[in-house]
Amino acid sequence: MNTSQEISQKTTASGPLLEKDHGYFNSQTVMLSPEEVFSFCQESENVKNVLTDLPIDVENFLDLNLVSAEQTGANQYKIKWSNKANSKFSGNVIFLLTSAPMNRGTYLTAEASFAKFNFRDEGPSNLMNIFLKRFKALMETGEIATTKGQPSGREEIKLQ
Amino acid sequence: MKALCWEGKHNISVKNVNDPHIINPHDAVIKVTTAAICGSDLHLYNGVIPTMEKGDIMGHETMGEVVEVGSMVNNIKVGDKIVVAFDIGCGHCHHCQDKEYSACDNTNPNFMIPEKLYGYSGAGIFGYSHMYGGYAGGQAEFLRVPFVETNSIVIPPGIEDEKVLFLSDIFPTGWMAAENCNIKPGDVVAVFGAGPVGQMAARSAFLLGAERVIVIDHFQSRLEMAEEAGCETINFDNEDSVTEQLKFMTGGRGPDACIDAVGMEAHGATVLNAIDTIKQKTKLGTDRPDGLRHAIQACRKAGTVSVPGVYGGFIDKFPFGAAFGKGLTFKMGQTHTQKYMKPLLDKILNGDIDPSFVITHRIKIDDGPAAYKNFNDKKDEWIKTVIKFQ
Repeated sequence: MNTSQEISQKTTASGPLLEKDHGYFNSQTVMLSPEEVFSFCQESENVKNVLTDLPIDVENFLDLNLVSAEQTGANQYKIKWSNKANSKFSGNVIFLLTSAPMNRGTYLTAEASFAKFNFRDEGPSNLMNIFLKRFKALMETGEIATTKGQPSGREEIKLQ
Repeated sequence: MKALCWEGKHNISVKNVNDPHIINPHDAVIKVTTAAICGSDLHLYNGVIPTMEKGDIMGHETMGEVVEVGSMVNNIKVGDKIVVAFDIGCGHCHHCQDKEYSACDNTNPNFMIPEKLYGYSGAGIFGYSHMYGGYAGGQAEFLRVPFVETNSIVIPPGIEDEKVLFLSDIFPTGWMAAENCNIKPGDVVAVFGAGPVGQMAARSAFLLGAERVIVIDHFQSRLEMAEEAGCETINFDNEDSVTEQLKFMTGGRGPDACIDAVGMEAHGATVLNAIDTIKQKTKLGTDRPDGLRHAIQACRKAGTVSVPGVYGGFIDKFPFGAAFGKGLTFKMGQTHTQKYMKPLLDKILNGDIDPSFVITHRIKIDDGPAAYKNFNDKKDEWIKTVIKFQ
């Protein structure tokens, strides 16, 4: 079963979102090889960097264990992160990687499922989108675009 | 530092704000030496581009001297004089690798807004609303430049700022508009709008091999500027039908390509434009596309319509039947500025063109608010303003 079939099956099987065990999906193309993305997705520091400044409870969310990282086929990989047993909430994130057509990067698909979590202002679908876009940017460029800390007329300086 | 800030519709002020600093490792900070006010800044001034916030620093046509670089900047150094592209590419994503920099995946921190409006997000742009990233602009004494190695070009010593400043936007924008026309020997290109981008597009069309370029506007000084480059002109105030006049001037065939260098705030005495204006003012509509309508109507069968003019939202009475019936090709979008900076710098250094011809006014930053008003009111033959910081 390839990634798209697997995701399709999961989406179909889950049907309308339930109160518990939500499953949220997002997909991006990363201009790196599947092997490079596979390596990147296993580093907890990278996940932490992406989550910084997101409107979620990062400390709890980062209470994750790398459960498995395996090659599932030619240029196909699967990585699973789960919360530790004593975590304040239960959930997991699965990354599925495959080559994009003509080797134009790697399809990075993420599925997050969890029982209960406080997302503050952002819905979980939006958050998945933001998370994966930032993850892709960090992989491709080594940084995440931001305007935080830049000047504006909203903080005018009074000259002496 | 001093900066020109957007305070609301028709309200630009000079404010003292914090200096920018390095935030990310591919950043640089420049001390701005020269900046310009772009025609598209007037869309912000007139309040027709959404997601501006009070206090936003304006400006996306900027150059200056590098005063600080981030830890991962290798090929730009302190002291270099650089021109900065108005759109911000990361240099690494699929689009940047294909030289489609304005479609960059990674530089708009507010990508959720255009995704909702347009389906996908393009690149961030300096000083051009939060929909385009909310980046501080370059009409200020200093500017932070993200991914500086991708988004700038180093200028050799001894070159006047005014000769190269417009590599930041209007020269590449005019060039790409003409390039999108796929000009072949003998082609006639009509340019709607003789503002700065229209002027650059007209000259670029000649450089790309157009036989004739016909420029349409109703400001005499702008038409005269186009005529100095060898263009023929039409003052639409003097014509019952621009399309009929263009057909007459082209032996009934029509222009091979039409460039809409007007965008979303077209002027004109047509009934449709009057309706557009009312809808825009009452927030029932967003864009006034009368220039584009004329370009579609006037373009010959199987011709090309190229659109460098900025559009933001939805347009009414779009003559898609005419476009389909004539089999037109459309090319448009924000300019992939970085793709053109080096070849166009070479043209400037070779003496093929001196883009400073378009400058009509030189000011200090304190005169910025008045310059915006005068430019918007088209006072005193106001075409292109540069802000001098030194």
